[in-house]
Amino acid sequence: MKKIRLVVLSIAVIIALMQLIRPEQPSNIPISDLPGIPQEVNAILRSSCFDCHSSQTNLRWYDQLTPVNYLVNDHIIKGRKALDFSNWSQLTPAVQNTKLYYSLNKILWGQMPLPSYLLAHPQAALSEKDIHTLKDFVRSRKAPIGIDTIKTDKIKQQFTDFVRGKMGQSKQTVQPTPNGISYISDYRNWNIISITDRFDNGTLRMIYGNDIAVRAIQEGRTNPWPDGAVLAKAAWKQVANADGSLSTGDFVQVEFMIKDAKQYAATAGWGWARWRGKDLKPYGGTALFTAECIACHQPVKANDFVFTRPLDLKKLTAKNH
Amino acid sequence: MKNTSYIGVALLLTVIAGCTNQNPATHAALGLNEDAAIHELADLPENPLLLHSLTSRIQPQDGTLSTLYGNAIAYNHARTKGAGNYPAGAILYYVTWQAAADREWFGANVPERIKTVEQVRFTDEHNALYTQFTGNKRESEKSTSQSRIDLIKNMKIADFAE
Repeated sequence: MKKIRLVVLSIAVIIALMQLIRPEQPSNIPISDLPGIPQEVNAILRSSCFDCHSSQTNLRWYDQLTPVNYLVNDHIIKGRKALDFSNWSQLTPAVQNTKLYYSLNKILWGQMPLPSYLLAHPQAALSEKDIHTLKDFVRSRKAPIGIDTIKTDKIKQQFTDFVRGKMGQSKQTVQPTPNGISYISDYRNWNIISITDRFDNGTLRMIYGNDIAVRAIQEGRTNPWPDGAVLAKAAWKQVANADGSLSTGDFVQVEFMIKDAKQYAATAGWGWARWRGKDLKPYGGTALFTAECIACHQPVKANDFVFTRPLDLKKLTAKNH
Repeated sequence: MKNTSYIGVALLLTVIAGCTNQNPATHAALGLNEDAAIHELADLPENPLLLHSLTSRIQPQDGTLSTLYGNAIAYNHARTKGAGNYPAGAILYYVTWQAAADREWFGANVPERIKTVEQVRFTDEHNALYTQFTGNKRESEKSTSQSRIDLIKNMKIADFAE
């Protein structure tokens, strides 16, 4: 019994001494409700997000004990860096939309609020009703697309340029990505494995697979994908037609995932690459940009990091033709 | 003493929780999108999903997504001339799916199941035959055929940066 008391007392002394070492406290500047956002959504953000994603951080007494405070501080620094609602009104509506959709998806994947944060702050958990409220609100923020004749004329001109350029076989020199991946120009000759209407940001996407990827689909070997499989996702801005339908407008970007379990072992078995804009500018300042790709694809780790559910591309034979 | 023990246990729990995986992989293997594929040709002469893709469209008023596919003759014509009067032998397929919310990304719609397949077969630059299939079953001739031929043959190939 004496021994137990001694151990508990020692722990208490160590903890007490640890309190002498403390990190700098994060700032706590109260912020008012975000403009242009309904009251009920503001209330959810305030109770579930603001502690780590705004300057208004309400630390509980147990958040301030060493060593927990170091962990809490780290969460707050990273949280504010990723999304700081204190700067909300300085963001463009398009950036706000991107942040809102991404944040909601993080919530739906169970990544946010952080499970460890919820353990100590159960009141921050979102109810089904909260999620429903957020979904309705975020859906109402989808990218507006109207009939824009100026835009349509511009696309017609770009298209003419494109056809003329193609007829003359003119090709620009495309630089490799910072992680050393060279541009793959013939992806548009591949089969498409699916398409996506991204109404969150007003783009239309066609996802292509090379021969190895298509064969893998036909043979049901897509988890994991075989070495040599390449997926390419091309995106265009949606442009409205007079009948209300939406077509592919300006080319936005093309992204590649190149499977090679050994060569790309350090980046989840895939080579990641993205070229943006008409001038196909390689994305990423350094080779470390792939960390961003992998973090985004983490929720589909169990699906070999691929979000796309490919169409089954069966080879079928006609019986009566 | 009780308070000290409580703090100790709480600290331990919090540190353990902080060290656990904060990026749980919430999605299992997704498999293939079987519902949106063609499993039997029935009246279809070939599987259009294996042909070249030219462009895609969204019909928000119908909740549908479409892709325009073409055989090699159609694809080569579209790449060099854009759209319009395709040469003899060119075949276009306009495949339309009912769209559904993407289960992996809130903010996206993906193909759910094929509603119609429209085939436009060119006998020469000015003449084309139109056939509509509901799923993989051929439909009877419709009076709107010419307007559908005009719409489909004038869809421009997606503008790629090259």
